[in-house]
Amino acid sequence: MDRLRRLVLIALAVVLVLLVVADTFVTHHASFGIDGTPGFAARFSLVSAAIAVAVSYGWGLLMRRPGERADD
Amino acid sequence: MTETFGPLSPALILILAGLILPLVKGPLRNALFLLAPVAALALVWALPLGPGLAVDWLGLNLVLIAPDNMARIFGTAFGIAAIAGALFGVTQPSATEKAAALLYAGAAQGIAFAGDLVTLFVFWEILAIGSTLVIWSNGHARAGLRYALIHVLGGVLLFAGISAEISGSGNVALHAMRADTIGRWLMLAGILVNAGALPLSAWVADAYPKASWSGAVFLSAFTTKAAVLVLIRLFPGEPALTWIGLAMAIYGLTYALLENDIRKLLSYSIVGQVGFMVVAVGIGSPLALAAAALHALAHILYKSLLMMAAGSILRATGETRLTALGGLARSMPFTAVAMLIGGFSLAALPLTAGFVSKSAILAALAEGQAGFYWFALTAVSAGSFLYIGLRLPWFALFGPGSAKVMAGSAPSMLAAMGLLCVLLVVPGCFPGLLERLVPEIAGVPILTADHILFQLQMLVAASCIFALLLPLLRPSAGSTLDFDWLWRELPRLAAPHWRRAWALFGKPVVGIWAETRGRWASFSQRSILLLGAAGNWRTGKIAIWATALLAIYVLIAAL
Repeated sequence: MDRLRRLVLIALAVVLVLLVVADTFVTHHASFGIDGTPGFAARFSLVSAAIAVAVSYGWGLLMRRPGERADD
Repeated sequence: MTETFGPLSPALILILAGLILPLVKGPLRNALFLLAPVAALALVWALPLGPGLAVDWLGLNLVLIAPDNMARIFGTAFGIAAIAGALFGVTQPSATEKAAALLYAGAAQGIAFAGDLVTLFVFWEILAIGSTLVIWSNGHARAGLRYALIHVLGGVLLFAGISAEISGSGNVALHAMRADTIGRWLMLAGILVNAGALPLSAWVADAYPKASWSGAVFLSAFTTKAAVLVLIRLFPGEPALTWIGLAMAIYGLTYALLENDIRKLLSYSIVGQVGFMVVAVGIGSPLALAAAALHALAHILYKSLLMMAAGSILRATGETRLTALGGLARSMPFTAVAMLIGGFSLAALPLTAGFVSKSAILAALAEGQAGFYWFALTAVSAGSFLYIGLRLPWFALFGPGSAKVMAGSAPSMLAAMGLLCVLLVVPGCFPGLLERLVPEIAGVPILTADHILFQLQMLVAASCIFALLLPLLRPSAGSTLDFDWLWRELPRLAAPHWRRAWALFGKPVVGIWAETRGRWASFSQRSILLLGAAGNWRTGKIAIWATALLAIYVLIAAL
């Protein structure tokens, strides 16, 4: 991992931790129980985004072809 | 009031302007191109809400203009898109594209205000013609033909469904229904083709990027959202729509994350975002339908803006491939800001219109206790930020590489992008403005501390994943296989095998065919002679045949 990317990642992680801390001080209006727990959005998004990258990468390995398609 | 404005439908103004436009030249043509959409939007708001304009035609009670609040929401969205698109593309030299764009925008307005199935179908077909001409006007004949064929298929399905519905109920009025007969399933299928639903979603990413730098802006606004409006009117609460919409959202996300071409990426994104609307229509509550309409409005605004930014890049560099772009934020700062605002609005960053509309959709899912869809769409929403708010800006605007800018954007293009930026940010900061247009969302918590924190955590967490997994998201040249492989690649691959098979089996097949034709000819001859002598048939024989034919008729009617 190059230096800039590592720095950006650390900065983002710090911001995320601060947001989670701030989340513990607000009143939640949960719709399904778990979505009202402090930091739920951060955890859920980390997992969701990682799955999205993994699924698209895997789909790309299967379905991505070099070169343009005919008529493109 | 209706008598005054009745004949002056917003659709009529745009369609007439589109027909006249090729006949005039110079500043007059540009004036017509710019003023017709303004007049149409003014008329959307001048038409009083009410029963509208009804005419009797061949015994059918047609409601040509039915102004209700849903028509006004979509009419406003289509009107703004037409104004912004015309302003952006006013320097486009192609008169064909300009005329087709007005025809296309007019048809969308016609669908928004249609009050019966026949009127809806007429404008549905004009919409297909206008959009095909927009693609053809850029010289992509084969892509335009593929697009036209898909829409012919959708039109035939819709027509068959409408015919079955009218013959079954005798009623041409638009009304909410369930897909509980073959005719209604055909109608639903025809509408879903235009919405970009699987398995025919590929037409969106095939056709839209083939339009010119200005034509794609119009294409991104009308067809799929008009289909969403028709779903709202005809199939609210249809259970099948929830999983169809979710499949669209996942498809759009997966393909957009893989795509290298900006305009194809945005096309896949259209399918994904329309998926959100289709899920909401499937939920079917008043809040869900209002949220779907609001999301369509917001989506038209931010996707038009993103297509404008992509069009500006194409016009300036001749490129839309991420692998060939980079560093454009320095050379095209205004376009970069527009792309960021459009992308952030799609990703539902607080203080943008997209945040308001996505909050309304998720609130509707929560209200309907549709937990699975709530969590699934929230996850897709986090993934959407990866491609639109991070991957696209990083590799096009900020990342390594420096694309050569050969031409700057015209002032009219900058003005159009500026207008849409304002229209995305102001309602995002003051959601009350949207509540006036869509009163059903009044109770949805939007700018509350917990909701804002929720969304910021979502976006920052997705950014962490982007920074961590950046090598996996790097764009690469190539294409991703889709269902359209079946009609774009398979026939070409199968042709040599078909020729070999014909060489082997051709002669016997021709022989069998000739023999069958001979037998059929002699059978017809005998039948004609037999029927000619029917006057001499015995009564019992006639009764048996009449009963058999009646039974077949009853069986077909029962089906």
